[in-house]
Amino acid sequence: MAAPVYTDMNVLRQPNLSDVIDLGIELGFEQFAINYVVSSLQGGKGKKNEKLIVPPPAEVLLNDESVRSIQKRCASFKQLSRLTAVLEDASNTHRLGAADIQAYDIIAVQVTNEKTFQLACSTLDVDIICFNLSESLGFSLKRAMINLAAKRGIHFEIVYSPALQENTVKRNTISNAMSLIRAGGGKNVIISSGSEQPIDLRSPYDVINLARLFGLSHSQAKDAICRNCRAVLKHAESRKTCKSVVSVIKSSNLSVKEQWVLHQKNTREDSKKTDADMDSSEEDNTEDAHGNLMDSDCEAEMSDALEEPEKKKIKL
Amino acid sequence: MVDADVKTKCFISEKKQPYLYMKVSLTIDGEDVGQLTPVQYKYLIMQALKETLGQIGASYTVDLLKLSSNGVALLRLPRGYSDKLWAALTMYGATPAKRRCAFRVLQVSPFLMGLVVDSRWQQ
Repeated sequence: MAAPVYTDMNVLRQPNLSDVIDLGIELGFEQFAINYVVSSLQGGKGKKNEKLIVPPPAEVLLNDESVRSIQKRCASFKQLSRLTAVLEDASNTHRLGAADIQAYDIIAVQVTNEKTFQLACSTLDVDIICFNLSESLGFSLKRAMINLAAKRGIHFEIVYSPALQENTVKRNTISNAMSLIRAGGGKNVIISSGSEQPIDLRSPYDVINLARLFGLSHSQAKDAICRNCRAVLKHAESRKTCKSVVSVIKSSNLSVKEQWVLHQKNTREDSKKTDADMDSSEEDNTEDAHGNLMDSDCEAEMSDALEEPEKKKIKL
Repeated sequence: MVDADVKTKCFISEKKQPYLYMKVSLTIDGEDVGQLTPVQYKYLIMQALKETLGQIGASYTVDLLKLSSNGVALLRLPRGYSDKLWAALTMYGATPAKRRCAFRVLQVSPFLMGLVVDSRWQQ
């Protein structure tokens, strides 16, 4: 059981982003997904249509310097990059699989009509489905569709900050959120701020209580900003792995924390050379943290020499 | 900070308490909230309730017990409706003069005594 980490899954990318995040940390949030919205996925077939250019996630995120200064105050601070594509129609959705979009940590789609809603629920490989809750949806949220999406690990997002200003928007947001929660049974819902200004942010407990107004139970409400956000992250991570179990990365790309794997591999090879039984077909690839599929050979090796870093790894 | 030799006692009440006490901070964009009188503060709270819950929501008795100079106030809400009233405060985002504002709840307790110490900022 992971400790609860309050997450705001939607902070818009704009100039005073760091102010928003500063206040968010003060209020008790620890993770923020910085959202970059793409208004349409138009490709560049026609001469007039310019090709959609998506900035790399590093441009969307805060730079290292400001992250470090924030982490001085809140050590567990983490930022994530998120891309939201507005789907006007079913065309060009293949664009979501492109490398520049897949580089983002989280991929979300905003559906606008029944067709795109069904498409997103049933086939699209995304992490979050969101709606424009400030207007009436124009289609009914079918329970079967929502359950299908839930089964595939997709979450639905409710954004509360537009509801803070105008009365009609507030009314629509509440009614849409309630119908979404009623149709989905309160599962697979995340609640995020979508804030542009610091004043739009509310503290995690305010958000939990607000979720109760939408019809979630207390534990579901808490899950909507802790556990489900974690689930979204895991889902996003699994997108990049094979069958959500194994992932392969180049040994040169290993992070500093995981360098010990290489070290172990070397020692293993040495010992094998002395033992003179060589079978080194998959030796070149190192599995990363969620590579549970270690061959039995390797496992025996690990129990032989349980050193400090390995213990850490096993805890993971 | 609590000294090592001071013994602390914990009381748990199983009774349902009639009220919920709340420490709320109000921020208004570009305005000094310290200048607000209790009457103005209460007016904003009533506006918040009216906006989200309507006349019926505004008829629940919310008492402003104390107003500090930095816009932090102690409220007393009837327990049974407290989550609705709290949500109404959360949803309030603009004053009648179209200034952006935010009620943020700092602490909640069924006992007024519970608001004395804030465990979140304890070292």
